[in-house]
Amino acid sequence: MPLLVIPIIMAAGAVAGCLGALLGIGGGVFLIPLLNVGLGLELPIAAGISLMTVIATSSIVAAGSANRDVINLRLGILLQIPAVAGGLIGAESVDALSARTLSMIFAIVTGVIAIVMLTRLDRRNVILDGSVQPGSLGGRYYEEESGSPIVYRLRRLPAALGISFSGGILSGLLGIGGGILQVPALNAWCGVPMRAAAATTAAMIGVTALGSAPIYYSRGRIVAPLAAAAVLGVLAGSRAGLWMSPRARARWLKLLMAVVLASVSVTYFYKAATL
Amino acid sequence: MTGLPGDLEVRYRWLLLGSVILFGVAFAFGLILYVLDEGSAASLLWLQTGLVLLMASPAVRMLVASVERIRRRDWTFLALTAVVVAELALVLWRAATRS
Repeated sequence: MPLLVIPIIMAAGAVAGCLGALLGIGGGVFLIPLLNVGLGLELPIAAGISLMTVIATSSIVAAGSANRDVINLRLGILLQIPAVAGGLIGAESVDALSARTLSMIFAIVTGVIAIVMLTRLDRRNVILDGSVQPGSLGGRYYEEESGSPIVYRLRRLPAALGISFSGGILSGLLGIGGGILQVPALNAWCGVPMRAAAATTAAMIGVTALGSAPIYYSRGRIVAPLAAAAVLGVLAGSRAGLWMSPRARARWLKLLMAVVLASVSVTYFYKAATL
Repeated sequence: MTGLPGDLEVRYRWLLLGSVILFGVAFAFGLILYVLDEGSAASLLWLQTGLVLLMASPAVRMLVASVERIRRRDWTFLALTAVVVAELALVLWRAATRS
């Protein structure tokens, strides 16, 4: 393995960590195309490295003070149950699927979510009356952007559980955090504001990744030097993402996520077509 | 998970930060040794230690959150956490038996 790869992966980890902390999606969705398409690593190896950066991003978000009042831990632990189960199923299924199939799954999922995000850029899922009760799975926090308290209630719990299960399967199959699916879906379908969905998901994806990471590790799919380089990059990049998160406008967060997802989708459709 | 005064998750944030620093230091040492002497046993030991510490960090977080919920008598949260812990035990068992 050429040593030059290490700083390249470190830089990629920094970008992934920054965007991951900002968007609550773990950053794997940025790192995997670079490792897989850019550097030519096999998808399961790229996935194993990505899982390590997902855990690192999640640990940094949870240890930091930023967004602490936005994280909905009760909702997070409930969604963790189907997510971890999905992660285990995904990791156990990797060997049964071809690289072409995995690439096609990645392309379809990212493309669909990009479209969902673009169609909901200006919709808000918050209750501006601060006296309203959020219920046992909703939340309440102060939003700097509007200068007012934000209250939200969880809608469609079965959908939220199904989304988390699907996110877990994607995490186990592709090494992404699962947030790529969960953040936009919680926002669009379950009434959770973007910032709360991102912060809650960022805190929980580390545990979701544990649903598959030990299986990748035991099968030798986590290349330690590359994983270390990616994680160190994430450590630096996620600090920048956390600093930017309270200052970024929700509309721009959604737009950024949609553009990134669309780019990843096109990349993987092309890859699946040429395999 | 609001950061209430006296909240253990706030008071024991150093534990969460400590786990991040530990795997970060292990990776940094391991990577420096790896660059200086590619594939050396010492570098791989540091890197493998970093990987294990990294994978343990979410478990530390769940432990702190669970202790806080015991303090608040939030039994629903604890029951949900117990299910997640059981799932993770199954994952470890699968990893150990199918390697």
